[in-house]
Amino acid sequence: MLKNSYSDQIHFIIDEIGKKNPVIIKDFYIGKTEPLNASIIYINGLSNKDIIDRDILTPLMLHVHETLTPNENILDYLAKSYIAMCDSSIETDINNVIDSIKGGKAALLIENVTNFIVIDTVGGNYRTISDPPIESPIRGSREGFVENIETNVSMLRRNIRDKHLSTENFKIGRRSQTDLVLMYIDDIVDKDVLNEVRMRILAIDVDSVIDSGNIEQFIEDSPYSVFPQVFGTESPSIVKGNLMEGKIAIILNGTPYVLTVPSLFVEFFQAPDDYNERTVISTFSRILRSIATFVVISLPAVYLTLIQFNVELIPVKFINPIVQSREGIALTPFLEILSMELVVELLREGGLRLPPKIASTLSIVGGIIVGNTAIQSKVVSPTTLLIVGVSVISTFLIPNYEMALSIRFLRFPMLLLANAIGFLGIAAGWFILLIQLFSLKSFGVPYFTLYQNDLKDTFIRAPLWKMNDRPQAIPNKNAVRQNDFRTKWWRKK
Amino acid sequence: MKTDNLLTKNQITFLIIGFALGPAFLRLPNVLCKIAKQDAWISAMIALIYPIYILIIANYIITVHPKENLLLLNRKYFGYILGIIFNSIFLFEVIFYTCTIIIDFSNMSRIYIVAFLTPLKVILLTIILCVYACNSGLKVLSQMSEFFSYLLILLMIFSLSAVNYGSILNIQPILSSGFKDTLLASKEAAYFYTGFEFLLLYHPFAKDTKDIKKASIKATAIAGLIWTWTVFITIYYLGIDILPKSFYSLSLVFESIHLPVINNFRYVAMFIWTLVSFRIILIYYFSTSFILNDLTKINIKKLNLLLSPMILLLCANVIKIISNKEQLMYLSKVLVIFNIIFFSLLSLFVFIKSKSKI
Repeated sequence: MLKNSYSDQIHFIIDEIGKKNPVIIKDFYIGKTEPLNASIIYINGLSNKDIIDRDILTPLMLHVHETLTPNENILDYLAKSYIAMCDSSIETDINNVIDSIKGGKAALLIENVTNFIVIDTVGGNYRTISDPPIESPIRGSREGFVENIETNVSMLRRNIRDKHLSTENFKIGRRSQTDLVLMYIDDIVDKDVLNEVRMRILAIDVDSVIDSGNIEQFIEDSPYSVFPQVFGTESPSIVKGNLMEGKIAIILNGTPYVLTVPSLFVEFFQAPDDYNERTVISTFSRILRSIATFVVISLPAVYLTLIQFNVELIPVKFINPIVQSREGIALTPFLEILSMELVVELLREGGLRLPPKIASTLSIVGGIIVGNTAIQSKVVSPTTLLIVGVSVISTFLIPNYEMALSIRFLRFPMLLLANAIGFLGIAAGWFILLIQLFSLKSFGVPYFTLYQNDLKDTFIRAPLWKMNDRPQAIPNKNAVRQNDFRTKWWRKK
Repeated sequence: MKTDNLLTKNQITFLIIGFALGPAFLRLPNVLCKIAKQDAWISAMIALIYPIYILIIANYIITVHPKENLLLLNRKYFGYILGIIFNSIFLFEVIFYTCTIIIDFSNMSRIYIVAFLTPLKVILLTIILCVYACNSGLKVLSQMSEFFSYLLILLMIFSLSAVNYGSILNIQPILSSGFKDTLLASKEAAYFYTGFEFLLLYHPFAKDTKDIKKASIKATAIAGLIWTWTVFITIYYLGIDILPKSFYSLSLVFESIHLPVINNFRYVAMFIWTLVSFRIILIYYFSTSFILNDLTKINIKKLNLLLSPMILLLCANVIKIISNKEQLMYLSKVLVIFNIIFFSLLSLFVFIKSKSKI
């Protein structure tokens, strides 16, 4: 809708932005002898006032010494001669102008001229780029994403200069109208997956999205599954690696947590440091992580079946200390393990809410005092505490926080199964777990598959120069990542 | 969308193996040793003729009819009514095997790991798992089959350690039982070796039907090797005098593995064996629903659920009968003979029809 009258235009813009918003309208004159009526409109707090004063108002108000006539070319002339800013454009559609103002840009209106100049004056204070707190690598880039979507996109663009790096912009949330950017490498990404992601994002119809966690839940395949199906990270280097594998990044304004899809189960167990460290060492850490995952899920359950049902399995030398330590303990083995697991969960959940200075008190009270007194008051046996402790420590080996939480949760059903049906229960638990993993899909891509070619980057980490192909598990258009360049010189003496 | 619900070559290989390798073959050495004594492993090898013959015929039928499964072919070649009757016989076969395997599994697990559970509880748990797993479809089943087969192969590698403790004298003198007994014993393996027939149910789901030939060869090689090896190593480790003392004699072989932390490696073996058993039960359970679905046209997910009380009831009742192993072996032999005649006939018809077209 285009309003012809100057004041109508201004009123229309104010109405559309919302009357209760802090919209600033500055009226001023351009030119000396027959000055033109002009206004600049922006939202307080979103735009940088210094830029508006210095680079728009000063030249237009003080340095126009000629007579200007209000015609359609005047905007072009002003933009080229007086507005000393690199990003200014002439806009004909008033709705686009309103969107731009909401995004922090300023609009220049001139009486009797129907078009507008939109100038990029986006300002406001953002957090500066800093270390991602939970994904801080030992070696590798220390940059973490911030809340500003433009900074995040620019960080990725700086890292990938390929001409095929593509972005698509969306606005999500009827009221919040949050910016969302899809980023992918056009000649690697599988178009079916891309269309699926696009379709699901366009289907989102909510009032507002607060965080990328909301987006994740809106678009994932199996909302009731325990396992996270969308990978999220704060580190641009991880997103860069994922884009190179043919994945799609989903960047939401206002959150430093960038999502990449489709996701695979194994990906949650790969730390960025794996690729920077030596092959053998990384392989060792990967094997440790696999063992840790198995330990977290099964160790308490196996321990329970051992002391409750299959005592004959415990080596003779262990039986004596275990029996002695269990003497006089009132709780059944199951309740004993369960209570300790619950205490650990309480400590973990409590520790999350506490400021760092008090958190150390919690660990002392929780870890040392509760642990010690639990044994002395004969609530649990030291062996149980050891088992629970080992399984808790093992959870910290899982690099992804969400996956660590999921794996941690699995201990409880496993414990219940073990208590009910012993070893068979553990086997049944693992069986269900595997069926669940095999049947999960992330954007139509199988969540857990074993391709022979991908095994070199699953439980082990083969030398980087051997990973010539992109992972087969993620559909892509261009499978070749690199050539056998090392054979040119290696072992050719 | 790259959902890819078709089966890869590896998955077909392990699906075929999944039909044949189950909890029962822990007692395969016992059955064969009764007649063939220390030459039982040769009988195990001779008995391979049956699965190989079936696979050759199956592969021939697949090359002529790559997109039609056994149930369709039966109706096509034998007419609607006969076709339904034959399909019902196959339904009976899979139900029979589902039940016997579940019971074998329940016996085995109660002997070795969960003595405190009643058989009914074990059966109930197995059936609940089946219903849950079968709802995920054939692709997931074959992936599971692939995964657990790798575990099984790993387990077999572990059994190599028994070589250290056995004695070559246990299998000597070779061929002393006489050719007749060795041959006679091989027919006792019928129950253990059956299952390869059901490849014809699922071959249209293969990504590339040309792969099936290679997959069949691989499957026969792996399964044949495992069968022969288990019989051989059990005799080699235990000798034919001690062997009959344990009902599931192969499990004793795993006790030869000494790990410092675990008192008895048999439990680790049994843990893997449980998973392997779940797999074969699952495959047969799914096949039951699959054939029933073809006969009744009821949704396969509903059938999975509807079947569960029936299988539970059957298992609970068969438990009483199954103690008489003779009947079981007799019935399985009859089924094997039926299968051989039936598949030979079917392939003959397929051959005649394909020639007459030309």
